[in-house]
Amino acid sequence: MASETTTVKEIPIEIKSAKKSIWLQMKKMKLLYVMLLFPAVMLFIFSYLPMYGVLIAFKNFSPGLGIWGSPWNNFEHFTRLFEDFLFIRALKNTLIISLLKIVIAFPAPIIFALLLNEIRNQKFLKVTQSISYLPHFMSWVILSAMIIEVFSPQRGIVNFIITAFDGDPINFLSSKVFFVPVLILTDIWKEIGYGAIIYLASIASVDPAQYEAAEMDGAGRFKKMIHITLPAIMPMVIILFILRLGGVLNAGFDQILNLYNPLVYEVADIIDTYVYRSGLEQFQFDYATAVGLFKNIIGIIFILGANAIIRRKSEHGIW
Amino acid sequence: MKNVKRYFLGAFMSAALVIAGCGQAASNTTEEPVDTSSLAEPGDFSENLTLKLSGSITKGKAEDGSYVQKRLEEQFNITIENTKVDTWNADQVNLMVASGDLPDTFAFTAGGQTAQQLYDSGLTRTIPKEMLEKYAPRYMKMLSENAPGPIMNLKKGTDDQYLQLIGQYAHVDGLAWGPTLRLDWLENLGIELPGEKKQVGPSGGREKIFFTEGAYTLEQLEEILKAFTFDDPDGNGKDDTYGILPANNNMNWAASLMGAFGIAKGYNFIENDKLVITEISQKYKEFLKLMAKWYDMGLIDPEFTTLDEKLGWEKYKQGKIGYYIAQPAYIAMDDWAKGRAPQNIVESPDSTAKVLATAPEIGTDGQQGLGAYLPVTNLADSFYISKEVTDKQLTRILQIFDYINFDDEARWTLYGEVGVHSDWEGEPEKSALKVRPEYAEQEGNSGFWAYNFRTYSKERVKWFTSEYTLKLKDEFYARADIKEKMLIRPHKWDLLNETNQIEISKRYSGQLNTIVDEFRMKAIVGEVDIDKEWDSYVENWMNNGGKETLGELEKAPVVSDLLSAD
Amino acid sequence: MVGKKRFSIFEWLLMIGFIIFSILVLYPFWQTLVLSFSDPNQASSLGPNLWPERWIPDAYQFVFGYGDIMQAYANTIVRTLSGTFLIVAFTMLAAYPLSKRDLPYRNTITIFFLIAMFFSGGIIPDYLLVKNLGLLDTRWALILPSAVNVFYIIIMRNYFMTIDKGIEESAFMDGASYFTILTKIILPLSKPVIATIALWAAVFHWNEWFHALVYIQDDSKTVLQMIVRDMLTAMDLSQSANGAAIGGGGGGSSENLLLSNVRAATVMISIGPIVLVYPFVQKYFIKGIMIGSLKG
Repeated sequence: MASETTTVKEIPIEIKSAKKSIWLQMKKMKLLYVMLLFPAVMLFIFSYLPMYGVLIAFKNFSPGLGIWGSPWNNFEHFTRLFEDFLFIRALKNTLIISLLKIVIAFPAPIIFALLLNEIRNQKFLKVTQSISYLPHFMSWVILSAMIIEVFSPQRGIVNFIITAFDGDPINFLSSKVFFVPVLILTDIWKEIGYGAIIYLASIASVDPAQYEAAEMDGAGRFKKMIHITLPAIMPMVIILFILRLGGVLNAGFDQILNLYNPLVYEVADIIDTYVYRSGLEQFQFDYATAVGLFKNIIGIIFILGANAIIRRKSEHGIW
Repeated sequence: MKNVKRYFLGAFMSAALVIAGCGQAASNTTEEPVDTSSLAEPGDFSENLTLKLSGSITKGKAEDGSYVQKRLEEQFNITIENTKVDTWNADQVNLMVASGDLPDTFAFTAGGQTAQQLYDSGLTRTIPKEMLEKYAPRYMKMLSENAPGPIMNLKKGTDDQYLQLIGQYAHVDGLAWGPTLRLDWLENLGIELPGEKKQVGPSGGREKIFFTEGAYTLEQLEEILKAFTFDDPDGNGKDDTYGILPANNNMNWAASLMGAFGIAKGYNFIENDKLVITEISQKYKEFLKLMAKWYDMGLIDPEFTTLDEKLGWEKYKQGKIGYYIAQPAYIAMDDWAKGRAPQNIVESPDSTAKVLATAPEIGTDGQQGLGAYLPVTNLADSFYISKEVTDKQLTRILQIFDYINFDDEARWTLYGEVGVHSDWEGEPEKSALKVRPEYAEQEGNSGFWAYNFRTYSKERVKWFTSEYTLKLKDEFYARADIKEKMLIRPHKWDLLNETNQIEISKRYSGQLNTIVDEFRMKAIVGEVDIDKEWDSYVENWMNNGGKETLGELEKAPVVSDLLSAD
Repeated sequence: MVGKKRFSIFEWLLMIGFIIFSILVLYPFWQTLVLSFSDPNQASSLGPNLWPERWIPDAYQFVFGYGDIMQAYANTIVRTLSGTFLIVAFTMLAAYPLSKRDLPYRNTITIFFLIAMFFSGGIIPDYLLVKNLGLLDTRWALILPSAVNVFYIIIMRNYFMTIDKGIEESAFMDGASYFTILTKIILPLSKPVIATIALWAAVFHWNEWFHALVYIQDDSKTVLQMIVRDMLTAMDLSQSANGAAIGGGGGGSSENLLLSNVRAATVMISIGPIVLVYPFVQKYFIKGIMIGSLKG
């Protein structure tokens, strides 16, 4: 009994001291909280206050009745999604295209930045960098006409090469086999330079002394890249990777919308294009919001999963 | 930590409630019969009223104090508040509605809702027939001349309360499309023309475009396309031409080809005693089989799968395509159709290309035609009156509406004064009007079109149609006997909004269109065997909303009955 | 300098690779430029156009005559500068505290930020909010709602976390406040990431049009991308709003411009200035930039 009372007494003391130490820590760091207050308040006003709008995902929205006044519809928008075999197909295509892009297109700017880093001629480096970032600014509306041209079975350069080697021309953009590779290739081509900027920024902060020391040890170009540059950008790679997973159901709406056609729906029709054709064109805001909510929840699940896995191996997760 | 969460939640909820409260719209009230005797007589504008107006063309660009605004304000003793919202933009419209800032008159459809739904959600008011007869007699006359105009848009269960006003669409009268062929190719190949050809116009490229009332049969067309593809019609010694280039994003290219099978996209008819929609009919199947045969023969440019209509026009311009569909205005080279096939090939003064427009192809059983642009009658569009509008305001609104849209004297609301704001393009009163460059064509500093509704009588159509297009329409495309013979109308149509058709189509059109588009493309390029796959295609269509669509359609009235109703 | 060494084969191959890549990237750019200057009768976005038959500035004249494009240009520049400043400031204010592992409730606060990245109420409540705050049709509506960007905050926070804690702690021992540490130690060490975020923010504000579409009604406050959008989405020019029919009054119809000309010119005009920003921030991405700040 006696021993029990002592333990009972001890626990609150421990909690109290833990609380106290947290309190002390917070007091010490109060300036940091003050700093946080500004963005937090802005975020609260502009993101949290309007958040009640997600309710229309569960309602039959009528603009006249407003978001609160519109009637609930018993998850009809969600059941509609999963009863629709075309939506299921679009979900599958979205995941395939998106994951392929994550696996293939995500590392491309990293490799690009690492290779650029190997160029010692500063002028060449600067010019290449500046050029590589240009295509990011071209919209897919403009680019699609050129891509269609490049892959044209009659005039396109790609098929010119194929026929020069006695092959039969391929209608790439109407082919279920080649359409997705073309998507990934053009995505890399458009975004590689712009995507590399953040990695170049990370590389720029590496202390040159590290390279010098490695050189003294006789490390070659490749060794330095693997042992110094890559680890230096790794935290950034991880965080961008996790955030990219959050957008796993965004497979590139503008790009696909401007390049696809009914012949490749089977592999190319993604959630966004399908919703565009069936929803937004007819003002179905409630349905579109439901789809958006679904996409974000899947995104969060991916982020949580990836973060949990990465936290086990390293300290660079989001939290 | 819990406290922090609770605090946030509380603050969030209360703030959200405050903000959301402002978006509520007024609830429904039942209307009482209007006592017109207490309202001002027509033409009595003694009381100044403030009206917030918008029209069909309102894109939020109207400047305050524009020419039309000032003149209207004076004439009707009103103060106009301009609508600064782009009513062509769905987002802006929804925001406007959600924030309760509706103008007194508007011609957009908020949230894709029907007139009944807009009324039910408290956005619009009804317009009593009695007031229309008194304050908008010209409109009522137009309605009665376009059967079944007067019974359209009535509020459910009433015969004298209109949910909206409707527009007259004389500009879409007649055949919207017709086929064209490269005339220089026909001549090079020594192919006989189906009839006597006439020049469309004397200059500007029109001298290179010809028109004939004659038509080829589908068999003849097939032979021609074969010659276009394989007999080097442009004489460049290379096998680089194609007969026909479809578009991958719409079915305009096939309008007259489908017409030769007696069908039109999206319409319905009785086949083997059963109501069917074109896309699942045997006739459509036959059409697809012909296209697949042509594709297999190499007559169809295989690149079509990647080209939409716009890129198709650009490809046509390169001079490798022999057949293209065109609207009369394209053939007549109206300004707004610049760059479109087939006029784009003769635009350059150095071009030696020539184009021949023919009547729609003749099918195996002599069938020849084209889907009517509007299924039943040339009435379309919606003009709504806001819930907030009182009877007193409505009398003034109706008189303005009737004047600016149905009195030809009100031409100044669209083009100002001829000789001051605009000029005739060609012969006065017989050609189109062009606004002078110092004035905005729409809204802006002139205020033209800012308050008008999209309703065009035959007379008004002339103001914006070139004399060449008018001539083509008079002589063929909109000639009474041609319309009678060639326009394809659906068997049934929910013109009076008696069924659930709109809800059903909202729900299923995405699925159904995807199924139809996919099958069509695959069938044409030979990826599926039409005979083998047809039944499963129809079944798939039925199971994904087709049954529901047909079910609703069964309840709709028969179009020929509607047309014969008074 | 290490530079005097001869290039190795690896380096030559690398450079050849980059040159080929640059050509691939420049090609569409060049083609758009040529298209924008081409004779409408020859112009087509199909088929290679490597050199126009004659250089015609008509498309540019048309675009510059459309609406008040110079005003829109000025508005976009003002918006980009002020918006970028706000984003960078708020990003730093949030990222620095969140980079402290020992900050109590750090994860909770991080989650508070993250949630906002994933749930949005959609445009209708956003609009009502902006309206009720009295920001409708003001320039603030273009920069305040997007001032806090959680994605940027996480990136910057991550970068801050990789900075050597030693320098910071010794400064703290010396009695420097967190604010002094942020401005005097962290920021100089973080120039590359700040440059990146600033560039991202500038590009975002330069390209953003949706907020302008829904929040701005007065044409004198509109932004460049609104005009670009009009051009790129218009089906044909005669219908693009507000007296935009080209070729002037009647007559000379064969000189009329093609939509593809005008689109190409619009693209060239709209990307010009933002593309020129890059060389200015580029110096922060060059290896070795940080030596100076470390020693200073």
